[in-house]
Amino acid sequence: MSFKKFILKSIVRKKSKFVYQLIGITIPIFVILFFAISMQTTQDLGRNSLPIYDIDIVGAPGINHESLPINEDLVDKIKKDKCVDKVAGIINGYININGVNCKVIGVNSSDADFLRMKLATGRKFNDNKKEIVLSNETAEMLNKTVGDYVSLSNGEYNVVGVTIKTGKSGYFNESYISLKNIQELNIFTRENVSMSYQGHVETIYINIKGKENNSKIVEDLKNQYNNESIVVMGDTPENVEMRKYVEIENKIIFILVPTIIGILLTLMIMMKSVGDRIEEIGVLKAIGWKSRRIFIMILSETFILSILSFIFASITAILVTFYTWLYNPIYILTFYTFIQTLSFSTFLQTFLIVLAMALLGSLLPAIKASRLSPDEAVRE
Amino acid sequence: MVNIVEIKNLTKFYEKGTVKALNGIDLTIEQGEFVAITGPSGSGKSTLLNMIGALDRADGGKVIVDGHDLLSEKDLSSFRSQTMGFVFQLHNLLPFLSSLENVELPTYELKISSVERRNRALDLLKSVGLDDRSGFSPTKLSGGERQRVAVARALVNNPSIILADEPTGSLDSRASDEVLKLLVDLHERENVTLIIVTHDLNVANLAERQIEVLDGKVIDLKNS
Repeated sequence: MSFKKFILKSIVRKKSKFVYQLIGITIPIFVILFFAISMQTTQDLGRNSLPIYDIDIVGAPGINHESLPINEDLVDKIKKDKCVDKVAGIINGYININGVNCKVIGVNSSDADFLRMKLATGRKFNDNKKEIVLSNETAEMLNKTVGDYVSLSNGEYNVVGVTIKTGKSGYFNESYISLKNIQELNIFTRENVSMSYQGHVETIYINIKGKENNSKIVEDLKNQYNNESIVVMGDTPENVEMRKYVEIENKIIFILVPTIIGILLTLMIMMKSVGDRIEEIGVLKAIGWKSRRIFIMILSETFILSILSFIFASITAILVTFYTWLYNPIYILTFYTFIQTLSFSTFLQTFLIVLAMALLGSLLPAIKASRLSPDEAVRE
Repeated sequence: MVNIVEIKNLTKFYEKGTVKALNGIDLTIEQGEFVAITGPSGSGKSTLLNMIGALDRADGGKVIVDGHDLLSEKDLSSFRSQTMGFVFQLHNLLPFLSSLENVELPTYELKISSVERRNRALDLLKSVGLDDRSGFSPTKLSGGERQRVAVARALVNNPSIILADEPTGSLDSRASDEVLKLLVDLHERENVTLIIVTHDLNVANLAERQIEVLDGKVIDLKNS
C-alpha cells in the first residue's frame, strides 16, 4: 500500500465522520462560489440579454410625464465625439399591428445588434423597405412567421425575422422596424400618449470608450448638449464611488467572512480529528514514523478534504444558482446558456482561496500531531 | 556476549519532577536475551520499557541501546524504525487497514518498493499463521489473531530488539499461549532480544531472566 492510499483510507475511515467533515468545509466554499457565480451570471446575462448602455439620453418630461422627442441631429453630433464608441437613436413605443397594440423599437438596421436584437429565424430588416422583425411573443400571438405580412397604419409590412425568446411574458419582447419607418407612424407611450417623431428620436443610447471616464463624459455631455430639452443619465462620480463601496462590502461579506469561517472550521475539524487519533499517531511514531511524515499526513488529509469539498461546493453552487435563476421573473434561462456564463477564473480564484484555507486551517493541527510523543500509544 | 542495552543511573520524573518514576536504575541486557520485567502497577516497568524503546527521553543517566546513546540521539524515529519492534497490550492495529496493510506500516520510512513492502508483510503474516487473513480488517479477527498481526508488524523491519508491553494482558489463556509461543519461537529461531513487561508470573517464568521494578529500582530475580 502506498502512502497516498494510506491517506485516502485514513480520510474515509468512518463514513459519517467523513460526511460531517466534508459538509463542514463545503459550507463556506459554497457561500463564496454561490456569490461569485451569481454575480458573474447577473453581469453576463445583463450583457447578453438586457442591453446596458453607459449613457442614456432621453427627452425632457412633457405634460403627461412622457419624454419629449429629441432632435435627430443630436445623434450625429454625439457620434463625432472622440470618447464615444457607439451611439444609437431609437424610438420605443406601442404600435397597432393587425389590430393589436405591440411594443416596437424603431432603429437603424446597422444599430440593431447594438440593441441586442437576436434573431431566432430570418434576417434583419432593410431600412428602406416596409419590413419588420417580430418579437417571439408577438409572432406567436399574431400567428405570423417569416414571409407573412402584418398590417401597420402606414401599410403592409413583410415579416423578415423573428427574435429569440429572451424574457418571460411582457419582458424584452419588442418587435423591430427601421427608424425611418417608425418616424412616419403615430406611436403610443406607456402612458398612452400619442406621439409623432418625424425627424426625432425618443432615446439615444451611448457606449463610451474607457468606462472609467464615464462620469466625466456624462458631465461633459450635460454641459455640451443640455438645452433643458434632454436628460443625460449615466454614472455620476457619487454613483461610481457608491458602487465601489458596495462591491468592497459585498466582497467582505461573501468572500472574506466565509474564508475566515472556513479557516476556523477547518482548524476545528482537523484539531478534533487529531484529538481523536492521539493513540493512533502515537503508535505510528512508536513504529518509526518521523514527525515530518505525520505532519504531511495531516496536511494532505486536509487538502484532500478541502479539494473534495470544493468539488462538492462547485456542483451544489452551480445547481442552486441555476435553480434560483429559474424563479427570476424576467429572464428565460436554459442550463446551457447558464453554463456559458460561468467563468473558469471564478472557480480558479475560489480554488486558490480553498487551498489557502486548507493550509492555514491545517498548520496548527499538523504541528500538534507531529509533536505528539510516541509514548502516548502506550499511555492511552 | 555483547550488551545490547546498557542503562546507568537512569532517572525519570513526571508531574514537573514531583513524581519519580525511575530512580537511578542500572541495568544491562545481553544480545539475544529473553528478559521479563515484572512489578506492581505504577512501579515504573512500562516507563523503563519506554526508555529502552526510545518512546520517551530520560531526565538523567545514560541509556545505550544497540550502540546508540538515546539521550543524545537526534533521530529517535529512525532508531525506533530500524532497531525496535513494539508489541502493545491492546495490539494498537489501525482498524481501517487490512492485516497486511497494518504489517506494512513500519516500512514507510524505509526506501523499499511497494512490492517488496507487500512481500515482506505477506511472508511475516505467513510465519504467524495468518496468510489467509491478510485482507481482513483487525475488527474481523479474534484477540489472539490481532496480537499475532501486531507481532508480525513488530518484526517487519528486522529489529534487534522486540519490546512487548503486557502482550497477553487482554487475551484468553489459549490465545495467550499462542502469542507467547510465537514470541519465544522467534527469540530462539532468530536470536532476537526479547523484553516483555508482564504481570503474569507464568509469562515471566518462561523468560531466561526476570527482573522486578520496585519503587523505581531494579531487582534481578532470576538469571538462568
